[in-house]
Amino acid sequence: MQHLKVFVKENCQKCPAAKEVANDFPESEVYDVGQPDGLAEAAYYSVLCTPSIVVVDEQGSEVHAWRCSVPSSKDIADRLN
Amino acid sequence: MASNIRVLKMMERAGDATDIALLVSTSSKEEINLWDKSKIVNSLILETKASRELATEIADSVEERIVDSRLDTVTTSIIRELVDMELLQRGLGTMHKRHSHLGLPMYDVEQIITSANKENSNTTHNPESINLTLAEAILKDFALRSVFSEDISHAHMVGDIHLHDLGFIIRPYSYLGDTRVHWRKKGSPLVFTTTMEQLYHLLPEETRPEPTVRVKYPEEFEMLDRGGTWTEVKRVVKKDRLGKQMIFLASSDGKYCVVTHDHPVITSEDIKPASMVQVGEELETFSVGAGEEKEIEEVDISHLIEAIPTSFKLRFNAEDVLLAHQRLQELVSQAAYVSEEPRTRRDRRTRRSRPGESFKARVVMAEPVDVLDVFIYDVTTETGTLIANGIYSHNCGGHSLDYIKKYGISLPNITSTSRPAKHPEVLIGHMVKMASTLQSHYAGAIGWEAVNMFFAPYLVGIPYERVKQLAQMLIYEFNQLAGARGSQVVFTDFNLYWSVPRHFWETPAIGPGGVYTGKTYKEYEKESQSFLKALFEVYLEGDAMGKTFVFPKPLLHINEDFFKAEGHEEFLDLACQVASKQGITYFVFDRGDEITVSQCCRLKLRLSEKDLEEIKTPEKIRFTALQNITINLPRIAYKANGSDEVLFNELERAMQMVAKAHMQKKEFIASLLGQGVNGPLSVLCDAKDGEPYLRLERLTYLAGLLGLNEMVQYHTGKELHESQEALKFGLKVVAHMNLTTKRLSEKYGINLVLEESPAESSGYRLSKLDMKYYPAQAVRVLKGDLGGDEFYYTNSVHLNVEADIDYIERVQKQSLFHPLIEAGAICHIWLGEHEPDPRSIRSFVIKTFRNTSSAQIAFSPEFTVCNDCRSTHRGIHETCPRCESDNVYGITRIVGYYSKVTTWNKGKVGELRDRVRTSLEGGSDHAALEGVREGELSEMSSR
Repeated sequence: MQHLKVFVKENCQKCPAAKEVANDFPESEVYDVGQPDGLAEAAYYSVLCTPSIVVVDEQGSEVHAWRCSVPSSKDIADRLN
Repeated sequence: MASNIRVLKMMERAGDATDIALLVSTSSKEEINLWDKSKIVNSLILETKASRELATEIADSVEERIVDSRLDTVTTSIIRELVDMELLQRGLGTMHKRHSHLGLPMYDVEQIITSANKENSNTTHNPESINLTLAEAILKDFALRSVFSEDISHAHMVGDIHLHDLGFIIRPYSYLGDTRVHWRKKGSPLVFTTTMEQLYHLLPEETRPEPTVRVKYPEEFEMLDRGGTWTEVKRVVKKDRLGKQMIFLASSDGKYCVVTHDHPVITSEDIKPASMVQVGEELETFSVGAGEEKEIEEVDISHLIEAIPTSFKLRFNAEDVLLAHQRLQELVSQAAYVSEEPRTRRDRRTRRSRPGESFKARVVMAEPVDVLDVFIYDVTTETGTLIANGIYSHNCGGHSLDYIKKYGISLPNITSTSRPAKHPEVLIGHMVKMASTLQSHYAGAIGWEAVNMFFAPYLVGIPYERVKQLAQMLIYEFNQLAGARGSQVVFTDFNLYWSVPRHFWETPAIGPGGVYTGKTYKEYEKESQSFLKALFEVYLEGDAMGKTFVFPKPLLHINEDFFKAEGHEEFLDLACQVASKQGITYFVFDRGDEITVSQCCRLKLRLSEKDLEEIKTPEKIRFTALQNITINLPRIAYKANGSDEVLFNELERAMQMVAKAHMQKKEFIASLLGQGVNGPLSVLCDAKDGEPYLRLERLTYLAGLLGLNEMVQYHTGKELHESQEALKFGLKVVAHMNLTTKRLSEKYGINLVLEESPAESSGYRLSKLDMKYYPAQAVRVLKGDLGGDEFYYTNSVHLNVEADIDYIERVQKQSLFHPLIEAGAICHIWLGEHEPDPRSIRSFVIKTFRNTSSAQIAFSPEFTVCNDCRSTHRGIHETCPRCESDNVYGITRIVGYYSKVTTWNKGKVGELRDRVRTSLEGGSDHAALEGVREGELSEMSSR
């Protein structure tokens, strides 16, 4: 099943908005890029700025991504199967 | 009793390095002295600080042993060893360390003379390289025993980490806080006299480049200089004294100052450290005041506050100043007494008549003084000199191509001084000499920023044919410098741009004669492009045998502006043609707003805001990463034995050790630089722009990675390319290291960043040490031929060179690590004997720029050069494909540069055998790179 990976960090102005949008999608995973696990996951998906949201499939492959921006819930819903 | 023993003294410790160099005293000269026990006593007291009683006791024991041995002749080396033995038996380890002898066994020296050293493949075997190896052997030993603490040295010796070459760092020369200086706001009629301490505390906006150093950059400030002129103040530094010895200097006209022992003092003969100044030498002093009785007019500090009420705060610690004065009172009285001798009084009557006049005075006192002051101060001025306590003083002051263009060549190690070049040929000559000088002071590469752009003002109106001749001259001059340096290549990188980099658009251009042309560099884009094209045409042709040039390495920067600039398609075709035929092009990717300069093959330095400010005066641009310490990652996995917790704890411990080692090396280099213009690193002190060449607060410290692939393989059972989990685990390790560098940078006040260690020799060394200490574990993951000693760890975070994956997957996966390795990373594409269609390279370069996070890529073909028929062929062959001679040698990239395969160490030979080559065709689906990453990249640097 497709789900969201949300990348945030401390003192990032738009990050709370990204987390809020992600709350609408229960399967979302939130990663703090200030922590090794979060930074490693961000590097894996070539996420170089926050906030970023990546839609991945069951295998973890990227389906779609919003890098350095916060999409609307509708935009996300449109991309999720 | 023992006086019949003769001592056969091997004169290996000559008075100074000049004696040795001049062969005045060498080990071939023997000198026979009668036994004198007191020499042992004196040497122990001098070298180990032992008490006389202890020293005498040890000397007695040694004498007894010698007598018992019934020898009638002993060498000083044997005596030293006997003394060392005595020290060890008494448990005096620290004294033994200080007293021990650094040298090489006869057998080792014979080996160094007769066999080539393969530590670096850019050095061939010749008299100069033998000297280098011998000297290095002793200096390494010295560093491990004296510069680093025991735990760090031990970690290096057993292979947990690898300490790379010596580095350099600046330490500003300093005064005691109560040294009086005369200053004014630029253009203001009010002249103030304050102590340096008062001045420092009056200035706003303190910065802390290091925990022990505070710096303020006053604006529009001037300080009184020689002959009553004014010089602009660049910065005022306050730093922890850290126990540095201070010297009290007094002159015959009643002036005195207290400076650090290494502070350069200008005497009539020379500039020398304060500790070397002798009584009787002449100094230039200066009278500021209006009357004979009062030499220096003291301006009440409160005037200052009235004059500029908003920007100053009065916060100086009066108590400190008072204490300093009390402690120095006695010395000052003494100095006044000696300065009042009859001849001096006459001097003063006749010479000290007008204010603002400078004259000569003799040093009447120069001696160490104990002070309790915690802080010392330094002022850097535009001229590098100032009047401090009425004495003309020097402060340490240090290059892009614009530096040479503006100032010409004037170096302490070259007897003649050149004015700024008026002609491009002369500029090339200056550049080569400067590179050569710098190389002798640095362990690593010398990178030159925007070479084609800085050259451009010299090329106006010159026909293309001559421009190409100049390009040829530049490349050959750098490439062949090796002949003059014991065949060690001057490791040079040229950073090159098709479109003038945006940050230089508004920069005023310096042209022939070192004068500003009135135009900006953007206005010279045509000439800059013409020169770049000429350089690549020369690279394409190769040398007289058609062989690729090894240096200078052309680092072609690709950014968004590149694709917008007119003519970029045609030029990119040429650069890709060079990459295909000669392999020498390095494609460096600058994405988003990130502005970088590449120093070495993969070392990439991001420019800070302060660096960007400096772009306005490009002659000041110089960036240095002084040292790399590599962490042996597979070793950590062996220790962890499958435990994540242990693995990350060990990683943390290794990073801590790296930071600690950097601090220790930094302290050592600072002490060398502290000897100033007469010290061993004088070239690095002597800048013409008011700052030292090496700027303490601007250095980068590197933590290198080696063998991530083998670490992950041992820990997870899979190599990086074999599973998504393994790749993710590798990323987690590097992410952890990245975050740790940030934490340690803050803790130690240094800029510590990760780098892909080229690890040409250290990679082999560490794998050999693992085979020694962790053989059962190492054999499971080491690559290469284990039986034939040609084994190796995979370079840095690279994927296994023999992994059965195509080059696109290799670049995609390796690039994921690049944003985490801030000091630079590179992806190699091994071409072997293939010469791919330049269009394939072009397409791949563009897609790598647009769709990956790769920092840099290079394509590496292999060549065979025939010494008999002088032909060059594609691929590595045992005999010449044309004349079948076996008098041939192979050339390809060992790490980030090309060298002869015959000079490679065994580990690298093993790696070369395993490398999977590609033709960039067949099964390669460029479309696979599409869509990997499309978002913005620019904010990475802010993380």
